[in-house]
This record gives sequence, structure tokens and C-alpha cells, in this order.
Amino acid sequence: MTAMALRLSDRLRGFFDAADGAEGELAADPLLDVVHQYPEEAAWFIKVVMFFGSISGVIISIPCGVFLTMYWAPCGQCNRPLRYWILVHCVLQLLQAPVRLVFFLRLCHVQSLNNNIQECVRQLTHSAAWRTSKVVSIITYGWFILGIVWLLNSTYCKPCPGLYRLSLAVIFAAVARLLMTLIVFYHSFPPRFQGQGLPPKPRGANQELIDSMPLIVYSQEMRGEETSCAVCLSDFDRDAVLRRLPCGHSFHRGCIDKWLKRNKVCPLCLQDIEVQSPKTSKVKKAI
Amino acid sequence: MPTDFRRVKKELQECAKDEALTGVSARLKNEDDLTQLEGKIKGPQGTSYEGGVFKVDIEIPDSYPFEPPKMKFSTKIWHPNVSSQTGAICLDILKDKWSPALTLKTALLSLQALLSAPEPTDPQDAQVAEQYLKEREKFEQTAAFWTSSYASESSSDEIVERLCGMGFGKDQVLEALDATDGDENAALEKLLG
Repeated sequence: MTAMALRLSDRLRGFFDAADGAEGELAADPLLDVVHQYPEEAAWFIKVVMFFGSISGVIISIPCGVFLTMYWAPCGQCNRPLRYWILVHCVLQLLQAPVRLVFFLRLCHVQSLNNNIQECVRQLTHSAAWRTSKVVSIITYGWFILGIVWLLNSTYCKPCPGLYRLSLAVIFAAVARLLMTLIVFYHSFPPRFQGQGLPPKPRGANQELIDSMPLIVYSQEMRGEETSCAVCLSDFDRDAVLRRLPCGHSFHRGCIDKWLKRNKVCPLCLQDIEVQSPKTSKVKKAI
Repeated sequence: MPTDFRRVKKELQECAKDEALTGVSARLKNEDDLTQLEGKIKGPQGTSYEGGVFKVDIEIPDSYPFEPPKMKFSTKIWHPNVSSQTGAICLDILKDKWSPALTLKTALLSLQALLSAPEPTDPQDAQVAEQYLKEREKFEQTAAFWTSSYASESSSDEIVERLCGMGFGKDQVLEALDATDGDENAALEKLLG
């Protein structure tokens, strides 16, 4: 009996631990990026979201369960299957609750021990539980949208007037939770991360702007200029096609175009390519 | 976008050229993975970090060099711009001020410069930064203590001597150290089989 319980708890723990083979997809998780840069803040954010996620799921499911057991039959006469919608929604929420709670407790534990938060988040995000939870989340969102559509199309239901109101309340609760997540996010992270991470500043150039920079063909006679590309660090071959920026610096066309799409400044002197000021560039060169 | 591995290789060669002069180095953690690197920074002279060698975990992202390499200290260090718990680094060129004209070497040199000149107004570790600003002497003491506790590398001769003193043959010890990149504990484990 004890052996069985032990095996079960082992299996359960394995569900929340990273699979050994998961190492390869390490860089793929954006959550880890955030944790890498701002471990303390990220841990707090994840904890709050996980805690309220699991609690709110349970709290919403209780009145829904009570209502459905009382009025299941009369609700069947309404023109949209909202009773099924609420039932499935609650089941999905309840499925998520334990995973979120374990995540929350593990983070609390790691923080109290002053251990590596990043490693803990890495393990959890690579676990089967996390992946399952992700799938359930996607299903939940799809189901949520279906619910809105059904709700908008439902007419007044005489045998079961409460169903409409309950569905509305559940949807409002879900929207409120989403808003709360966003608010917590904005309060958790320093402004520089928000500025740089989420809504990316329009730092890159469009193709039109990039194409307006002249192309030149490299030849050894071009004296006093770069002989290699600062982006790929390779020497310019003869007849290589280079792009010259207003500051006078040249790079391989392919190399610099890729960079300018991300950030429209010269990699070498950091001058904005849109600011055409030959005077300042001369001054900079003189220095 | 695949990582520009040619560039990474070139950078490693470039780093190796003047390692002794610059005090910074970088190498692959294992030979067939060009995305996981380990950097080393010698603590600048005249600072509390003098005498220490600080290891830096480097991860090359897929879009390198268009995105900065991810760096964090794997050696514990007491510094306002480095998390004393996780080693996360607050340095603008590793974030939004990155340029593809920068390299692993220049980034490591910037880290070395950061050790000489902390920027407590833009801290990574608030507690350390506060101590730096308010109790400078205590800060220097703690930083020096952390340097000697966590960042001092015994010279390889000493390690060889110690291990030989445990009754292992010299050839055996050298071989084990070679296989474990000079890590004393790992070498000992290897020797013990």
C-alpha cells in the first residue's frame, strides 16, 4: 500500500519535472527570457497570476456547479446549450487549478530557500504538466469565444432565466481576470522592460527606407574605408555589394539590411539613419 | 534565422589572441555546441575584485549577432549591477543598446569595465546598490570577501600538488585535470572513479 502511494507520488512529481530530453527547446520559451532578465519580478508576477488563477477557477466553479445541479433539466429547453458551456468551462478551470497551485507552491518554496528561480521556472515550463496546462488554456480560450457567440445569439429563456445571467457573469469574471493579469504585469516589471519587450518601440526601418540607402560595389581602390563588414566580421570580397549609410559606414547589404529592420542605427557609430545631418557625421569622423 | 556560427568561431579565435593582455576569455562549454559558452573575466586591479576570476555564462541566441548574447555571472559576485543571487547583469549594451558591431570580447570587456565602475543609479541588486552608496567601506569589504571566497582560482600547480598528495600519480592527475578543464573537484571525482 505504502509502496503504491510512493510510486504514485513519484509519478506525480515527474509530471511536474522537466523531461530530460527537453533541453533543446530551452531558448524557445519567452517566459524564461523574462525570468532570465528579471528573476525577482518575474517570480512575483507568476506567483500572483498562478495563485489567483487557481483560486478564481475554484470560486467561479462552485456557484456554477450548484446552479447547474438545481436547474439542469429546465435549462435544457433554452435555445442555446449554455448549460453545457458553463459545465465545460468549469471543468476546464478546475483542471487548471491544481497545476497552477503546484506552480505557485513550488515558486514559494524555491524563494524561501533562496534557490535559483530561473532553474525552477525552467523545470516547470518543460514539464508535461505545463505543456498539458498550455493545451487546456488554448481549449479554454476557444471555448470562451464559443460561449460569447452562443450568449449573443441566445434569446430570453423562460424556463430558466438564471442561465443567461450566470453565463454573462462567468464571461465577465474571465475578462476581469485577464485585465487583472495585465495590470499585475505592468506593476511587476520596471518600465524599461515594458518599453523594450512587449510593445516594441518602432526602432526598425521599413524596406523603403532601407532601399533609399545607396548600394556600392566594393573594390580595393576604395581607400580609407572599412575593408570588412562589422556585422559578420568577414573581409569584403572583390565586387561585394555593400550598402552605405548616411554616416559613411558600409556593410554587406544582406548583413546591414537585417540589422536595420530591427534597429535603424549604424552599428558602428549608432547614428540614426533617418537623421540626415552631414555636419554631425563629419564632426564625429573628425573626433 | 540560423545563428551566424562562422562569426562565433571567428570571435572565439579573436578572443584567444590577446587573452593574456585583456584579462577576458571565452570558450565553448562543449566542443560541438556553439551556443553555450563560458567567459572568464579577471577582476580589475585596484578594485575589490582584484585577484578574482569571474565566470560568465554566455548563451548565443538564434538571431545573434542581431540580438545580444545572453550573459550572466555564474561566479557569485557582490556588485550593484549584478544580482547577488542569480548573477543577472544590468548593462545597457546587453539589452537595448546592443549593436552587431559589438562582439563577445567587447561585451566581456564592458563587463570588466563595469566591475571597475559600478553604476549604482541603475542597479540590478537594490540591496548591494544601497550599501555601495551608503556604506562604501562595508561594500568594499563584502565585495573583497566574496571575491576571495568564490572567485579565487588556485593556481593549477597547487591543485596538482594537492591531488598528488592524496596519493594519485602525477600523470593520472594531469590527465584528469585536462579532461575536467582544471576543475579540482571534478578531477578528484574522476580520479576516484
